[in-house]
Amino acid sequence: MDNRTQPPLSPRSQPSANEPIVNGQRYKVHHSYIWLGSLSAAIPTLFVIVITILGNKTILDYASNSIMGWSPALSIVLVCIGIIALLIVSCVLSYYFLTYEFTDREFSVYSGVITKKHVHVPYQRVQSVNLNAKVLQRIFGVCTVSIDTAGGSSNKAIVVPYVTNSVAEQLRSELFARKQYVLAHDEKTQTAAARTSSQSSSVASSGSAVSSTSSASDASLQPNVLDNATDDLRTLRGVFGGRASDSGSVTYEYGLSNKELLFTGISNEKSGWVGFLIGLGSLCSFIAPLLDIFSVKIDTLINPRSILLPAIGGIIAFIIIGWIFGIIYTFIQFGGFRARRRDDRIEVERGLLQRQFSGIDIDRVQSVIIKQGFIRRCIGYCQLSLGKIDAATENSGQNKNGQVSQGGLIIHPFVKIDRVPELIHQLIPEYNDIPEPQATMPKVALRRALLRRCIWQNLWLWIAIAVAGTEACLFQFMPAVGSSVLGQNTASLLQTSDLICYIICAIGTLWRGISAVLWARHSGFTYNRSFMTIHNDGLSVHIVCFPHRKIQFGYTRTNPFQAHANVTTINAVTASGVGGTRTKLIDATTADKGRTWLDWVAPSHAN
Amino acid sequence: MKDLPQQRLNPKVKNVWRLNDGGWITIVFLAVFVSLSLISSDPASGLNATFPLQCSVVIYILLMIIWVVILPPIRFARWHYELNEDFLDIEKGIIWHERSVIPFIRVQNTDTRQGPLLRLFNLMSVTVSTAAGRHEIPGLDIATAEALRDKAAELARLAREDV
Repeated sequence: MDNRTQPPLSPRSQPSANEPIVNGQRYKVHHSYIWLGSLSAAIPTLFVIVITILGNKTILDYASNSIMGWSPALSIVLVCIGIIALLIVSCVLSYYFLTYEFTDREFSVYSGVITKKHVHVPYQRVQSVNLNAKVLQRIFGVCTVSIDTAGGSSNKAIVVPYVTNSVAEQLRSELFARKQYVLAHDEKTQTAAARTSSQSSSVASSGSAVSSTSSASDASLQPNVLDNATDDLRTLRGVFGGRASDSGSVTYEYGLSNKELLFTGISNEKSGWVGFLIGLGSLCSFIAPLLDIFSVKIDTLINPRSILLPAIGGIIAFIIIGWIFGIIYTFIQFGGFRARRRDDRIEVERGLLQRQFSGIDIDRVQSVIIKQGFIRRCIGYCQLSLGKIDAATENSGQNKNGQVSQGGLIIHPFVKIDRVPELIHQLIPEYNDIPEPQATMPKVALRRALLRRCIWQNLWLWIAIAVAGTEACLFQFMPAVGSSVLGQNTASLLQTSDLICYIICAIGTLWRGISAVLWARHSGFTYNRSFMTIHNDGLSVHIVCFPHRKIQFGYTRTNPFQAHANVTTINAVTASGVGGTRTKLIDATTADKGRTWLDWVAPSHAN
Repeated sequence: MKDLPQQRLNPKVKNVWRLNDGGWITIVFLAVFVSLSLISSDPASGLNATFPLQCSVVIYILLMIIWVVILPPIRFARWHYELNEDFLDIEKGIIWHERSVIPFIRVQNTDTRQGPLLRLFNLMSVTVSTAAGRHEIPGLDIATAEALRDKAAELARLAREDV
């Protein structure tokens, strides 16, 4: 070991929860990094090895001839043991070189056995701190901390793996506290930036005023069946969990009621679609060989209609199975859901098996997103989430919140649309005066939307045209070939399946048409002094609100047809997600709003 | 918002575009043409590639006319930008007209770049990056480009460091 690489203070194993964190002291992560890490790496590796050996005939043949008197099974076991030993050694080595450190202005993580890697994060660049625990980690009371930073488009999360729960909580509160301190310090010295910061500081002060007046309302804590279990698990805190550390006063907190949890699962139509696709796929793979083998011989026996019913039944069964799995998945995902406001932070924790905890500063929230799928629109409920800057995962092994990064931070998966203003008022009072969505589409938008969605961009139409073309080729231009190659019965089977295809395409087109009409009727965009709302309606609804100061840039895009109709596509770009998110509204009127909207985006016109 | 931003690119940028696009088209054409003529000159292959050869020449001439003669003046005429007090205003695009507003307080960094072609004409390109994407102004003369970069950097420094 090289003496120069040694830190000024020798690394300590772990800070205990009560002890304050010392500047410049390097801390190690928990020792479960070694054994839990190697265990979770060994299981998939062994699995892969076993599968390859069993699946590969040559290896099996080779292994069955005993080499130099070694039993083949023994040699395989030895190979496995060797691999596990290697894994453990690498884990032990990297454990001894993995340390983290707090200094005055930044948080640093040192890692790497041969190639040294130092990551430094200035405190004011911390976007959000997420705690994540897998099932095994939860049992032992450890979790993985990942810190999102605002480092441009290719930013990566800084990961501190395997720290005990209490240390993780301490890390989180320490990071936020130091960030507050640094920012406050900067504000004093940087009066030149007063113009730009006045807006946000006034927001912050109004926020603190609200949070001091509204006390924690216990009435909104509606427990559900899964909460008891998760509460027990939480109080257990795992083997090495340690004591909980308090990190600020909670002013508002809510969970999910039984009904909300159940409907979150039921109204998730994605799972039904997955089931449908799986069903369709397996059905095709089942029918295709059947046709190949039997089409000529048992041509006369197969009645197309006798296949049709089981086929449809099978698909419906798969949809239902997919749905049920989706509901179970949702239960596991959102079991023990809690969202709360703590000082200037919003904290969300969820997950029955794999626990996820995300904390984000209120002034790091990029947007508020209201989403409604078809079912949720019908029953008047929606999903409420916050847009935030996500970091790309540092390495795929330490998989961060894969779900969260897709749709922002979900602060309520299933909430009645009337309750949204109340929730926003309680949880994020800074967003109180977001403008109501209004319908602002010009008349020409309906015609253009119908043309666009039902013809140009309608995949169903093009599929139908392709099928019709193939059919015409087969039956009109080569009737002799068609009837001789395909048996009479297969031909009629083909016609039936084509008919089904047309029906599906017609339904799809109708769906898109209805969606286009709804979109043209209800969509629109509104803005006031500091907020903007873009509302894209349809059979599924997407409403995005963002503050003026979070818009990175805005642009309008006009094609010749739009220019002729005096409309334009407006695009507002925020930094949320990985590398920015563009929210667009097609065919907004140029006459009064499209152009003045750009004026509004320009900062001098906003204040 | 005004109808069009006031400033234009340096007219020399048309020649940069001509050289650049013409060069790339010529390289691709030569690759296709040489391989085709090699095939047709080899008697063993037994293929007659005269028609593809003629086709490639016609396509090459057409592309050259479009990208060297027709497009550069239109592109230049459609490229407007304006450096306002606190935002950058860009209008461009031949078929899809695009009007962008980039507030300087959101700008994270600005770069100037000068490739060999731009250096040949004493030009520079300026890139303005925000947390969610970048915008490039190609072909400004060096003094303007550096002034723009410095002004954007100065205004960007005043911005708070949060996103």
